Amino acid sequence: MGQTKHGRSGLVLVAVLMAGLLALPSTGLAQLGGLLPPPPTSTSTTPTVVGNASAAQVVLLGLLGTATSTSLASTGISSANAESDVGQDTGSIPSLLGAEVLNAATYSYPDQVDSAVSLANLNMSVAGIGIYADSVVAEASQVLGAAGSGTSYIDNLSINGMPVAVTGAPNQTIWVPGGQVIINEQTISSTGTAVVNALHVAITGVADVVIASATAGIS
Amino acid sequence: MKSLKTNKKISVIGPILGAALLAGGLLLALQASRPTPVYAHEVPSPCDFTTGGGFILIAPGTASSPLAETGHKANFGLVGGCKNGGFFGHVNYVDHNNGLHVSSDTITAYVNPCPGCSLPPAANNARDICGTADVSINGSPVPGTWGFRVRTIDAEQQSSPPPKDKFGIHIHSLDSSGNAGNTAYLVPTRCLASNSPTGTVMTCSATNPGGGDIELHKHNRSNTGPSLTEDQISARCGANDLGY
Repeated sequence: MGQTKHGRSGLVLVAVLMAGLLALPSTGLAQLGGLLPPPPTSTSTTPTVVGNASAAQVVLLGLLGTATSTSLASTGISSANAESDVGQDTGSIPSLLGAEVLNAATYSYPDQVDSAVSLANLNMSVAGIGIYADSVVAEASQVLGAAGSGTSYIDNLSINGMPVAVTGAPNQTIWVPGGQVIINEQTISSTGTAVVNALHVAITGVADVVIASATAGIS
Repeated sequence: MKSLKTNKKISVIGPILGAALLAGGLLLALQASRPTPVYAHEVPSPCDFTTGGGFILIAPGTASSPLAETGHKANFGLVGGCKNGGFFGHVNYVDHNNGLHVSSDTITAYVNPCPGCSLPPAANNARDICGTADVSINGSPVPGTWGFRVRTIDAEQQSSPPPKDKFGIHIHSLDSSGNAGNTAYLVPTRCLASNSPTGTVMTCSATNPGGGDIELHKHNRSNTGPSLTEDQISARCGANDLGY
């Protein structure tokens, strides 16, 4: 399969590309609240709410351009004053990833949305690139009328067996053969909705994998 | 703020934590040899909720169960809190020292175990999540009816630089009325990624590389939970305090 071939040829290259980025295992922490101007306060009495949390979101791309989507421990809400959560002891997508204690929750108040997701013992192989982490956590929150914010925590991340120093900065990018791994990916929409992806692995033509994604929006 | 001294304090002197049947007819006997302070517990009002995930380490001799303690990780993921007059959440816990799995989506209590406490550090950010659970060891369900109490402490909100968050758990039998019985498995509260209990003052700020996060989310008038008496909380959560 193309995935295996791709990974074999890239092992050495990955080591070279990451040489300046790797260090001892560490914990990553970053926040992106307040970097953008607050969105306009909603004039509606019924706020628009989006709350999502997902331990894993996977899109596998086929040879003919097909795309197969799968998720693990995924939940969401779309109204104020609501709650939804899901937990699993273990979860896996065959030939791609396995993890333990997958946990996702999203919760809305009349004027705020909080989402949180976590998993442990992440063991993943995408296009032959092995990714492991002891613990992965993402959290997102938005208060009505203010920009959202988010945080992620990643403990003992390694790629192809090499420890990765998580800087804590949003959108730390590591290039890998055929694609990239974005650590602590954060986006804030024009309405202030915060999306935090603890890990985002994108391999062109092969797969797009998001590990620990939390979304919180109210406007 | 009330100090610790003003809280209701009860001495539970126990030669018991009892015996419980775990997998394959394994008889579990756990004994408490000294008084254990237990403080007043209450459902937060207005209520809040807690999310968390990560791992702790269980060094030999730092937990109480008939199961192996080898210094390996125990992973957890959890949510607990109040909403619309009830409790909600789930707890998942996997102990790699012995293959123990605990899985629950039935939360029967969510309480502050030390309301108003300024000491130990961050004690007022402690929340206990209690419920009933499916318990298995190496994939084999453990016969019986089981309950649990998980202690979470969001310590990071309290200090600068922040100490690590904390986690502890015990599993107890439940009688036919759903009341907590003997403790079968006890991991006293410890900092995330730590391999030893915290005691009462340890903050673990410099000694741990990580291990996840526990987040105590804000209270709000929309977070309404049931009102439970101390006795009802003890019946649902068990008598063992987990430390701070």
